[in-house]
Amino acid sequence: MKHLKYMVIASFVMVGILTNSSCKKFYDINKDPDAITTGPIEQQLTSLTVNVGFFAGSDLNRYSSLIMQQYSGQSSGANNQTQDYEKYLIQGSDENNSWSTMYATILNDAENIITSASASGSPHYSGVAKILKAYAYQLSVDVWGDIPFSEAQKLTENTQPKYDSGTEIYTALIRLLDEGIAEVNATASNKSPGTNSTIYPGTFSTTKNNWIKFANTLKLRLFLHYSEADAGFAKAQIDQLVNAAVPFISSNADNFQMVFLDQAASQNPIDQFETARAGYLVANDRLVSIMNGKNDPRRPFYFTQYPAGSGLYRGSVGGAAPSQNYSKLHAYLRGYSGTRYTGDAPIRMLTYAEYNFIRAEAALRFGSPGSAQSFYTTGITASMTDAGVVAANISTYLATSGTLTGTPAQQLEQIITEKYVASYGVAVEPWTDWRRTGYPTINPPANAVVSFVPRSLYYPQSEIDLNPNAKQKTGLDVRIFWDKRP
Amino acid sequence: MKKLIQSLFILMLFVNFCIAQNRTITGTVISAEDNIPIPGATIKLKGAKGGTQTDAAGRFSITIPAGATSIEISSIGFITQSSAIGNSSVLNVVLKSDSRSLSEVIVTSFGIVRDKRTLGYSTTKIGAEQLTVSKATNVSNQLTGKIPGVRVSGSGGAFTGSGIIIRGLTTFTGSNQPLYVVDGVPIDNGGGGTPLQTGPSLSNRAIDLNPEDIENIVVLKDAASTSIYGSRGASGVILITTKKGKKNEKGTISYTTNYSIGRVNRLPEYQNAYAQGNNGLLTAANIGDATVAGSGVSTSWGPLIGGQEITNSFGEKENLQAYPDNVKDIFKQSYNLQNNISFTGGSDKSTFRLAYGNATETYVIDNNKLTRNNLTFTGNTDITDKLTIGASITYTNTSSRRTLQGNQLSNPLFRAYFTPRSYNLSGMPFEDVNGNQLWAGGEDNPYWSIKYNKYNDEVNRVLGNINASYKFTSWLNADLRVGTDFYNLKSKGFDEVGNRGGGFTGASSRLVGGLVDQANNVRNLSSYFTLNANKKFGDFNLTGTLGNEVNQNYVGNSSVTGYTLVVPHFDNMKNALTYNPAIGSSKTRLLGVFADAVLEYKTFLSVNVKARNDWSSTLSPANRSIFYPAAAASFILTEAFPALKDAKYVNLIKFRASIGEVGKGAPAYSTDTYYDTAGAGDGFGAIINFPYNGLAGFTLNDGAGNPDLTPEFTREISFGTELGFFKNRLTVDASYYKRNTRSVILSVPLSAASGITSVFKNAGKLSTKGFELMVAGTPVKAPGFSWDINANFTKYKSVVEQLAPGVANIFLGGFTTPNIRLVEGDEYGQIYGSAYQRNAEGQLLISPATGLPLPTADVVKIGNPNPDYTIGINNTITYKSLSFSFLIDIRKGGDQYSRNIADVQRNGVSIETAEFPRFEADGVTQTRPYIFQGVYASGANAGQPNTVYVRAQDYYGNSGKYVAAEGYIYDTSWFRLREAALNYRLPQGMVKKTPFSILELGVFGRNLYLKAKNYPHFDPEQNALGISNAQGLEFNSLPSTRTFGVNLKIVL
Repeated sequence: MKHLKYMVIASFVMVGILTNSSCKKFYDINKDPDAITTGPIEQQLTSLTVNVGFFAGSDLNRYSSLIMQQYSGQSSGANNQTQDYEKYLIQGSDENNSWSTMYATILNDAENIITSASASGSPHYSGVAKILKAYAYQLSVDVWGDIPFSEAQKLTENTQPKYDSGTEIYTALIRLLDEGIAEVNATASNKSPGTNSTIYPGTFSTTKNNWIKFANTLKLRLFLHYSEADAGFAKAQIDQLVNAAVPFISSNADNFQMVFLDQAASQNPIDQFETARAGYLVANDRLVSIMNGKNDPRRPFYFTQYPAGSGLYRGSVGGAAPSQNYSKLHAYLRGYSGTRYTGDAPIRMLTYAEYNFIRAEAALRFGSPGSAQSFYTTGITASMTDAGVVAANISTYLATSGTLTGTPAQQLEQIITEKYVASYGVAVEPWTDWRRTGYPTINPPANAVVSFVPRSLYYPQSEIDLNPNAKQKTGLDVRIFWDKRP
Repeated sequence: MKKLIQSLFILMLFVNFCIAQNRTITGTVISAEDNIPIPGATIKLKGAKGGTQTDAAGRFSITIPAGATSIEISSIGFITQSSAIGNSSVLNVVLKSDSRSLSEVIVTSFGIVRDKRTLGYSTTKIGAEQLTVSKATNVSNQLTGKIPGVRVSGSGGAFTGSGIIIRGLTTFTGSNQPLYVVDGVPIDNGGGGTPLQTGPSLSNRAIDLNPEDIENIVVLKDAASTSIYGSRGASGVILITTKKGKKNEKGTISYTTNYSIGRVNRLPEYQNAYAQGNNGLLTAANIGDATVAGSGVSTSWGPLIGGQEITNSFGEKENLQAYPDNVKDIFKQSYNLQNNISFTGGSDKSTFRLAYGNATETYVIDNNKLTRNNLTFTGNTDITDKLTIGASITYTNTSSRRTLQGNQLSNPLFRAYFTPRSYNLSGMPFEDVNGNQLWAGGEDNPYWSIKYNKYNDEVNRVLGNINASYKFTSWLNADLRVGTDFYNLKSKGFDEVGNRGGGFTGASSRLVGGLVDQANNVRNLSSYFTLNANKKFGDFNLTGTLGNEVNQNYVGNSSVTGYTLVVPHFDNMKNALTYNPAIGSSKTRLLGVFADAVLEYKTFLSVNVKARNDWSSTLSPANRSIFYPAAAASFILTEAFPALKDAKYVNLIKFRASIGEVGKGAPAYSTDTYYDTAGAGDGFGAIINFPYNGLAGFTLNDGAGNPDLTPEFTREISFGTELGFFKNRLTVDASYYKRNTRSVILSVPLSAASGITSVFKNAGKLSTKGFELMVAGTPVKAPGFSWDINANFTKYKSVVEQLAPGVANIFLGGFTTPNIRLVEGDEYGQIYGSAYQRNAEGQLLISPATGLPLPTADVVKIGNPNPDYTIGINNTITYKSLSFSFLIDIRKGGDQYSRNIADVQRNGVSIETAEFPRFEADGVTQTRPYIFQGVYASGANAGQPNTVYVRAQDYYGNSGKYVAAEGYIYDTSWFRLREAALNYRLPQGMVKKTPFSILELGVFGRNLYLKAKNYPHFDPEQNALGISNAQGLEFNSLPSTRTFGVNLKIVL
């Protein structure tokens, strides 16, 4: 009987304890011990800058570089996705990943840093986050057009944000950049980014100038995009900015780019893709032909030789029969030690070369300050230097191909074509230039699923499924607001 | 076994002792089958009330009136017998077992034992013999085809997970797997999922149970029966009772051994006429260079094979020939060896069983091997007349080696099935002297990958419980049980230096090598305490249980992934240059109290009401309490109106009905949102791991928590009948049920523009309607010969009634195309993928330029993986000492997307691709025998019938049939001889001359015959995702096997 008594008492005492609210501890175990509920801004900024750099070398880089025929999709037999993309079979579902990285990681990190840094008196952090946010939105608007902006990042408070027009977002981005510059410039900040920022790492008193230069140059890029939609506005804004003598990116050292590492799972995404998906991307005949035509000294850095050791470069044409007998992406994009790919090449997002080509175009078309020819020469030189071309070869090239000639339209074509070559590996911007100016001429591949070159991408399928405010586009010919070229 | 249950039954049953007159008879009741005493048998005067029961040793003593002439002896599971009383005061009775008995007792929960005929819900019990017919290593596999209402998937022996779905799907993204309970203690049956693109396929952890330790399995299906098991019983319960010693059993040593061999049961039929190549040609570029990955083509669209000289990928001259067995040779013969020894015995107070089991199983691919050792001890003893205590402990060590699986380049079967017909795969070297691969394909050479890309794991597991029961009075007892299930799983996946797929550790280890060390710790603690009463009031009998249950479940995972290995073949983390650790855990607690009362009136009416309240740690305090009731009733018409009962024709007509509800808490930690380690990645395998360059990164999780979560409820209404005819030689058991799940807890996908991509919510409704039927009969019964059939039929349909507002579908698994998703208003888990473009009339739209079909831009529904119905037919034929049993497994309907079939067609290796000669008489011009029936999509002749004939390569190739996933949806309907066994038990006369009491020999087989007329080349049971709610995809999966074996059983 004794045993039983203990059993019954023990059991009911247990029931009593567990149901008693005073002994909450039994149930109070539903906090994940392996995660934190608040994130420090320092580590969120690292997440943000790494993701921005990675993103610019990932899906959108492939889509835009394939559309612009800098890369070509290839295979050794079975059809690869890159071949589909090249023939413009880029479906909404292909973009789910980029969209969610953009909004739920990059813009979310930026927003959380802005909120938290503003609350804790760290304008240097919120300033950097605002500048990066502006870059991320610029990229997104140029790819998709109207997108959520004003109601985005409200977490569970608004799970179906409305779509804002690209025009409104662009206007807001200029404001955002101005705020960012002002905050980066603030004299006092509780915390400041340092080496935890993988873009412009270093002491903030030094690197803040990089951020300001980049922000101003990004404004130039944004204004230039108005060239066809509102040339007067573009000219006025560029002139005003240039005349205000604000600092711009002034050397390759100021390039807005992220340097990756020669280490597994830390290499740049272009290199990782080339390793993991060997043979999916090769050099495109369009780009290779332009460069072959001018004996471009950047080719040994841009491409592998085909046939190996021949000194020759051969690009593939979209829709060509499966083959690997082409030049592949090389050191400039992947990093190369002489024996193997290292993956530590930077992902370039806005370069000194591009700055010069922006100024060259503005000078040529709008009579903005400076000489088109001079910026043109500096742009080519900056690109070649960045690629590793020795000075003598740059001079040789400039001597034969470095002078703007012909009608303004021809000169523009030369500027944009050089910009196109220099922007090898820069996501989206060459496509934007083509959409604005039509240069260089791009013809849809023979197997293209539509008869025109896409003017924007479809909205991601996930967004169509989940946000009733999203209306799928009627086709890839739907244009961004600044795309008014006839 | 019967005796075991009887022993339990005795615990429950009060003894009606009725004393009248003047004569006492004593005796023993034994079983005819094995001469073992039968405890708990009822002895009574014919026609009288009351009586007595045998004690544990089968002894009885009864006082009878002087004039009585006979007594009736009955026991559950035996044929009731009358014995004439002579003048002797001693009467020994031998009872014959009644195989057709419906009056079986069943443990329904927490040690509650009930007579099956009074149950208001459906249960099915499978005994040891039926369970282990084909000696499968995994107990889950052994349930296939044996239980109405239950579907078992996965058949790759120990090398794939085996999933069980009972009466349809009950939830969306959570687990639909039943709860496994061993001797009253819930155990972990995790694992068994197969990642689509990384790693091996794994066993579900029921693999750690030794089927030879199992006495029987009871499957609880209705919510009214599972509700007492609380939230984890929502998808059904598999109650496993292990073997125990028997009281007064003399010490017995039992030894069983079995050995079987297996071979792949179905391989593609290949063409052997055309060589590797493309467009009818085999160029040097097509052949490639064995030292350069991806330099050659994988397709066999080359020239007619005719001994022409080529230079192969090794630079050697070779005469072109076909290698018909180049794929078949990859597969080896597998074996399965099991040895079991047990010692059992019992005194009149105690019983024990000590057993050791060893199983070794290999698979048809080298480097796949599983070894399991089980050591188990069970003991029970009556401390006093009232107190019985017992303990059981099982230690299991399971280790395995496996090769890669899934849609990735290191899976040895990823492209092996379409090895070019003219490539001498087994004859050519796959590595050079330094271990570097020699293979012109872009993927790993199958032999190289099997040899070097390795996986191993080891589980150490302890399953134990202690229990005590106390009998207060004849009608009241208490039962306490405390149990634990804990195990540690260590695994290592190794991507060899030079690998091309990064099979275990992802793209970052491609070429440079990588490895992943993982450790999982699972600790489950549970206890229950019940008070059970059983009392008769006149014509009423009341049985009641009050109880509580406490569970704590802990899972801890830690893994380290290392990349860039320095020393080839050295699979140690020390050998890696960079590391990425991951740590995670979850702990949940649950307390439940429950009550269960059964009121029986006479022998024909029984009403059962239950209720349970849980408090779950995974919900906010305000929502923590989960209450759910259940009720069940049964009515035996033939007992209520005995006139209906005709001993010859009608024996039993019973109706039953039940309604029950089961509530469920949320997954751990879903009420909050967390920041966690950052990372970057894209859909193609490129990733950035943190710490990055010495920097930590944290980011807000994309999945948000929700403090307002409330419990999820599943309610089921079920009606059934049990019928017995012709002296119970024909019995029918049928159920119809309707099950509704509401407030489903799921991770609802959100527009990423909100900053998060999902949030936990109570959203959605799911309903299942089903019908199940079991018909059992004995068509032939003659002295020395009998034939028993037991056929079961399962049909159910689960429909997604509602998803979360604004959510059109939920992705369960797969790729952009094809994938498996839940779509509101449609059946559960449909196959979506790209389809062929069609016009309004449904005709294919054809490209006028090529004559080939066009894919849709978006994914649409292309198949339904749910079968219409499944049937299992068990047959047992006994002739004297021989018994032959076989199980037929029939599945009707259910679609599957087969990437394997797609691959053997688009690469031109399967026989149908050479159905027509590919060349004209000149041997050069390619024939155009195919046409896609359809109309032109565009151009001048838009809408006109297509008249463009195309080549075999166009038809089957990447631009033809393969453009849309729709082309590879196949109906999996099958007819299968799932199991067969022939056993011979040495007759008693012969055994007596040996030192043994039983000597049994047998042969058995599994998956012996398969007919799947709509599914070519492969076994339709192969499946990509293992245990998963997403079914209907097959991507380069492991093959199925056919096995044959022999077994021996000796009892000393």
